[in-house]
Amino acid sequence: MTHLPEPALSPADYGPGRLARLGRFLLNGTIGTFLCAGPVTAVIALGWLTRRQGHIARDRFGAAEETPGWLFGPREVEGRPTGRLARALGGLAANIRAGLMALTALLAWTLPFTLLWLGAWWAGWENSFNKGYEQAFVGPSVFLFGAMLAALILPALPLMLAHTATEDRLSAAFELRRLRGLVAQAGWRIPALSILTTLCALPFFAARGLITTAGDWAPWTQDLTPDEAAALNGQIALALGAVAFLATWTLRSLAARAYAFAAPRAAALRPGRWDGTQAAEAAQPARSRSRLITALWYVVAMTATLANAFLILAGQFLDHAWWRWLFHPALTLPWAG
Amino acid sequence: MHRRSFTLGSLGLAAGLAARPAFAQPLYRGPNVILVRFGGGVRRAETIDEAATWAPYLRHVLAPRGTFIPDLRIEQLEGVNTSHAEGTLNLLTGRYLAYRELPGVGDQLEPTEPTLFEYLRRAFDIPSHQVLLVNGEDRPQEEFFTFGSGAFGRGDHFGLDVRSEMLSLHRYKLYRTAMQLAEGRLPGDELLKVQEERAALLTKDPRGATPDPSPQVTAFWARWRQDFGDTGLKNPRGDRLLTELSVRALRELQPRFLMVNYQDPDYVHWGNPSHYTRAIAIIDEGLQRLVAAADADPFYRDNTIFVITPDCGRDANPLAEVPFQHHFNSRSAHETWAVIFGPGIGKGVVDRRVDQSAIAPTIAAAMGFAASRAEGRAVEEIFL
Repeated sequence: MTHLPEPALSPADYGPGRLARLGRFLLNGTIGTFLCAGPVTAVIALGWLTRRQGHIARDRFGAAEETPGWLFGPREVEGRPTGRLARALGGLAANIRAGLMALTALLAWTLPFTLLWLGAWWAGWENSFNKGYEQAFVGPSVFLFGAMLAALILPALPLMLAHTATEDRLSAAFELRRLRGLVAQAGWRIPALSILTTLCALPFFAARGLITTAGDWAPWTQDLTPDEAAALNGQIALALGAVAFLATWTLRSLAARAYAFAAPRAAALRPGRWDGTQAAEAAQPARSRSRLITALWYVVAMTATLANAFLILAGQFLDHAWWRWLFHPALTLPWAG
Repeated sequence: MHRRSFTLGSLGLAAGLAARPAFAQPLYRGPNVILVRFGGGVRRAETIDEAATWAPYLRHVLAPRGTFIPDLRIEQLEGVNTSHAEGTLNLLTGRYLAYRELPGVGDQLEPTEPTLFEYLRRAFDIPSHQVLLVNGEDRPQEEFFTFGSGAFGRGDHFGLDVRSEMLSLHRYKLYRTAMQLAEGRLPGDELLKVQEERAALLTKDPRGATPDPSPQVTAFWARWRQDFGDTGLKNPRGDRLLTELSVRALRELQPRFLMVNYQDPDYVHWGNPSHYTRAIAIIDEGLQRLVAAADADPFYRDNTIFVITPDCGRDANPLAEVPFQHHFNSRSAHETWAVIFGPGIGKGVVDRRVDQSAIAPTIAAAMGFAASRAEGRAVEEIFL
């Protein structure tokens, strides 16, 4: 990453105009949409979103730097000009690296419950198919346990991602004491992000319902040739890619802002714990938050997360695919499957 | 006598008297019929498509053995639902919408028109244990297909007196709990559990008029209990259970008309996609056992007509990850098929569209009685 000198003018003075910002938004949206239409390319989009999230937070900490791009790399790093290859593909490489880092962190945090869901679904139906009524409680019980685990983990996930993105290293995803400080300082932002995440999961659930009931409201779909069906499926994937990208963009941006609020305060309260982090540079005076209030906000967030788990489960009832347990846009990859 | 038993007995007697024909019935001398509901909602693609079938015995062995009807349809009528109970009653009555929902309980239909069981037993002197319906373990709602609601006041040709008997684990559990309570060998807490289990089983028949099984069926359950015990864990489960019940029934009860209500493809409303295809394969294995049992038994060999047909189709949604989900009333849910073979049945393919309501009158024609209330007409061209 390239750190530029402190700007002499405020962003409003030298930044791009509205039209340019709109053009950039549309360009980014289009590229992200196409990338989010497939699971492999979605990793690149995830990387760009992660880099952008880190950029927002660091920008708020006062560290000015170039906005992350999709393909091209920086012309220079730490004052030294970069090579031709790095200039031509450096942005793409950085996106892939950041995407893999974020995906690894997300999977490490979500697999404990998504694997339980996947196993509960398969084992539950398998047991039911074989009329194992005597063990019928196992499947639903395992799923509920997974949902409780998800409720415990998911509210902290947006700040975990923002911290990882800002620090730009995988190990940041597992700094539990720093995460605890972030959660305490973020206050109402934790349930707000959880509710927003659940709202963002709604379109994917609705899409599953619409696809499953297509024969009722669009009977012509029953007459499609395989080629026509494949073409329509491609368009649906693209539309869902757009929703996934925009939803993740929004969530990550807001999470970055929440992080930018909470991290400097957490760093000020426990300077030693935050030594060497980006947030430590921007530490702000703060007061300790009440544990009770923090717990209450977290419980509200957990409740919203349970609704999210229900949407994912109901979506699987509408149209099942095993990978949607692991890669739901509300959980990990911005790809709707 | 227990008050409930007395009430049921009185009701049964009254209904039986009301429905008893005024003339002596002839003995039945026609062919036996085994009607196999290839149930749970199956698509043509996974069953009768020559290349893609998951039921190769059905498609490549049985279909060439008789008449193959590749285009059987459930009529697109207002109110007609392509579900299992509805489709089964269409097959049994030869009419659409010939059922009503039992008051007070959901998803439980009883026929309001005579079923094939009733037509047959009204026309001929056949004891109830030789007209059998074999049902799945978890389909208590199909316990009501053995006779119509006329026993309670509508029509004169319905009723307990001409009902079929039922073989299902539900019925076995009724037998087992009755025996366990009568034997009185269980310790107190287990006895209480059995009493509760029996009370729960009895509430599953809100008509409250199902008569006790015949001595022959009671003896059948006694032998079943001897072989498989009281736990319910030793006997086959799912559609393999239905095959086991049916094969034992052929051997021990010699039914003249047997309907087997396979059901397990139904798992893919929501479950794992492989359960659908696996269930089709299990039914195909069941067909092999049934046909082999009939071919090996002098009572059935060369004297048995098999009618194999689904209750309904299922979705063909090219946009869904699981294209063959089972919701209701999509176009392909109306599309089924039938395979009919046996003595007096020609070999070939019916290359026209046939309505599902034709199955009941076709079976009636094969057995020599008239399904007078059926809407459909027999498929005459299948007969030699």
